[in-house]
Amino acid sequence: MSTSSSSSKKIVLKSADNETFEIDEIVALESQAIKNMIEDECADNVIPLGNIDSKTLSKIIEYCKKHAESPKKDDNADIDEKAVEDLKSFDAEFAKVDMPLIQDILMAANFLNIDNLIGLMCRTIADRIKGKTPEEIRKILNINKNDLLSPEQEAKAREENSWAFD
Amino acid sequence: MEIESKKVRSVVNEDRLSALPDELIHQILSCLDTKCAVQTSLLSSRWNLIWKSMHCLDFSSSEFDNLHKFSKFVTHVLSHRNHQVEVASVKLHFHGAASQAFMRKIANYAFSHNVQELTVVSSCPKKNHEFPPCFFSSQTLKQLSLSFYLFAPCVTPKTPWDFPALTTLDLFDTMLCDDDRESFDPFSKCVNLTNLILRRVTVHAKVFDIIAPQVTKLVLIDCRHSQIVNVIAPQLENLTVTDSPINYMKAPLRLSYLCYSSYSGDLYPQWFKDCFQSLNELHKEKHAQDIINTLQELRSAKRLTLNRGIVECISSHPDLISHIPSPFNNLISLTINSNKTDRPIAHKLKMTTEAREFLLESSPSATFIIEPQHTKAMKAKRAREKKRAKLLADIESDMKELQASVEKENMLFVERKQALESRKAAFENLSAELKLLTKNKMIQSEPESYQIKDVTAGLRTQIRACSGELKGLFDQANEGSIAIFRKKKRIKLYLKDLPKLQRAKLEERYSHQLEEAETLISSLDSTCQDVNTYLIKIMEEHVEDNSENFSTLQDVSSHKLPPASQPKFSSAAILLNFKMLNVRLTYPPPRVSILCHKPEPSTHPGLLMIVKTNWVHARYHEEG
Repeated sequence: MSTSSSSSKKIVLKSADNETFEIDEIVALESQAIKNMIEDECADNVIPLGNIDSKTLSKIIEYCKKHAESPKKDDNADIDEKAVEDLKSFDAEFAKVDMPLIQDILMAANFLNIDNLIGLMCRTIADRIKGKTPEEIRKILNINKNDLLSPEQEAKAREENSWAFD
Repeated sequence: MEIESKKVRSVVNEDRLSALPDELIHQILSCLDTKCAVQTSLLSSRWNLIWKSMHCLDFSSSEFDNLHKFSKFVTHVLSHRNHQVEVASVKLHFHGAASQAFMRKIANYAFSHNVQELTVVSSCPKKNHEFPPCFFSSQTLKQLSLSFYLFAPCVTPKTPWDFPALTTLDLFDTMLCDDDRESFDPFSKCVNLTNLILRRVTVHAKVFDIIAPQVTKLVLIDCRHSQIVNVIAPQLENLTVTDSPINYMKAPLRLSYLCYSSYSGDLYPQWFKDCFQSLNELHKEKHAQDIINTLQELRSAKRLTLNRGIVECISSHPDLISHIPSPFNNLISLTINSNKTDRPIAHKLKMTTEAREFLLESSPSATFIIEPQHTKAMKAKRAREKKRAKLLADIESDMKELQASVEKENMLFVERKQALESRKAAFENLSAELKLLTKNKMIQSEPESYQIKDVTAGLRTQIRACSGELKGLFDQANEGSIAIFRKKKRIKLYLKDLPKLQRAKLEERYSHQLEEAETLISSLDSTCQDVNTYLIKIMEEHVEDNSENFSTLQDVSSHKLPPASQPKFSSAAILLNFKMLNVRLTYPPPRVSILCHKPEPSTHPGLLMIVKTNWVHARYHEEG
């Protein structure tokens, strides 16, 4: 397809653990942050991403590649139903990772400003905590134990929001 | 510029989610229903208050036992949330009939917090629920979606909705008007509306005006019940209409997308044709592009046969091929053929230079054949086909008429026969009486008494009346016979014009009916002949009796009759009654002898003439 030819412009990303990733510019454009840099002509050489490790970054690149080669929804009213389905199942597979990686991807996606990916990660997290007790949620999300409410605070919160705990 | 590095995470079990900005946590919370979101307040102090500043509220009654508890929950959320924070979207999903006060509360809160997106999904309310007017007035709302499942739709206000910022409106199973008012125009004040989607929307008004000056996308699915639907959407680009009658459409002729389907009889209304034409062009162009792509795939072809439709299609889009090199390098022959069915009336092949170059430039030595177009032959064939179709239709309708006549005559036949017999009997009696009287008179050879004279005159009058009646029966039978004969004759003539095979088929199909007609004609004819013979017999008897009342036989030639009174298929038998009113002759008419009978000219100014000729034979002869 269009992304494979050698004539297209390449962008090099460098992860926090100093691994470099050469990707087509069109893939990089999925990130609004990188897109802004390219437009401002600040992305000549290598873009260092000091807060994203290589595992997370390779995952993000996988996501961007897939979405870059899929037809955009707002392009035309004539959206290819199959392409949409294909992308959906890709997203579902993509999200089947452990919670720490999901959180890493969410943070990185937030940093790189990739809207779709942020949405996907937020939905994934929400799905995993839906219908769970606060204790279960704390465990799933690995909530900081130093930040827990004191028994008094919790009682007060329960009291105040009792209408939500029927 | 370098992106500032932050510290790489070192501890695996770090609570990184809590470190995220509020908006990301809000985004996670907005994927939960609001009850679940409020419950996260117990997780930690980071999460304790964060739900209060959520922008998106999603209320669903499925989390609650009843609507009352649900309504109480919603009220609590609205009163406990941070009022400084605006509301971006409110989703309301409930089962049952919500009170007006509840709906008002939500509308007031949402609209006063500058809500942009409002979605209401409701199912199975016990009765129609009316929305408070304040629900349809917001300066900030951009998207409104109302869906009401099952039987009782919601009813909205009748005045134009006041949503100046609204861009998308999606209504499903909603009743917009229920009072059969003269006209209803809900959208004209939604001046920024670009997407309007109406599915199963009921409008009980005589005229439903969809006035949407900025709408680019309009979907109407299963929208009925209004007598007249007018659509004014001058910016329209994308239109979907499914089984929704529209009486008037003002939209730009060049739509980029149109999907139209209708289950009613009104398949292609005028507005549709207007819109479709422009789209058709678009389709044609896409089609041409597809053809060109396919032809490029066939680049190694040596012998290529193309339908003239393909050639004409690419010919009409020279801009698509002018910059492409001819793909065929190995072409030995190119044949263009005309499909008989796709071009009913053949015309000259329209092939532009661009198309010719595109097909043949790379193979200049290739033979180029345009298959002969049998223009004249095709025209003639078409004319023949047309003629034949007309013939068949004529035969069918004549066949129907024939059958109707046969049925009618069959019914009358028995009746007539009985009448005939009774007339004959009556005549026989009268005749016998008259003879007896005459005999007595001759034996007695006395001068006739007045009494006898009167009796004789009375009997004669009766005889005349009786013969008149017999003649009437003759006429009836004769007319019926002639009518059927004519129809049958015409059908036979039509059949003769058909091709052999078709004729044989039809003859077989109609053989029963034709036979029946034939039998009936013979029966009618024999009745006629019967009456005819009988009448002649009577007359002859009376010639003996009253010779002075009969004139001699006269020859009458047909040319004395006006041509208009010479029907083509009439019988040669003529019964001329008073003043020669009923004259039918065969054509060419044979010379016929007429026996004139003038019984009592003083009382009967007309003539009773009976033609003595074998008319039945004459007719059959002519038919053969």
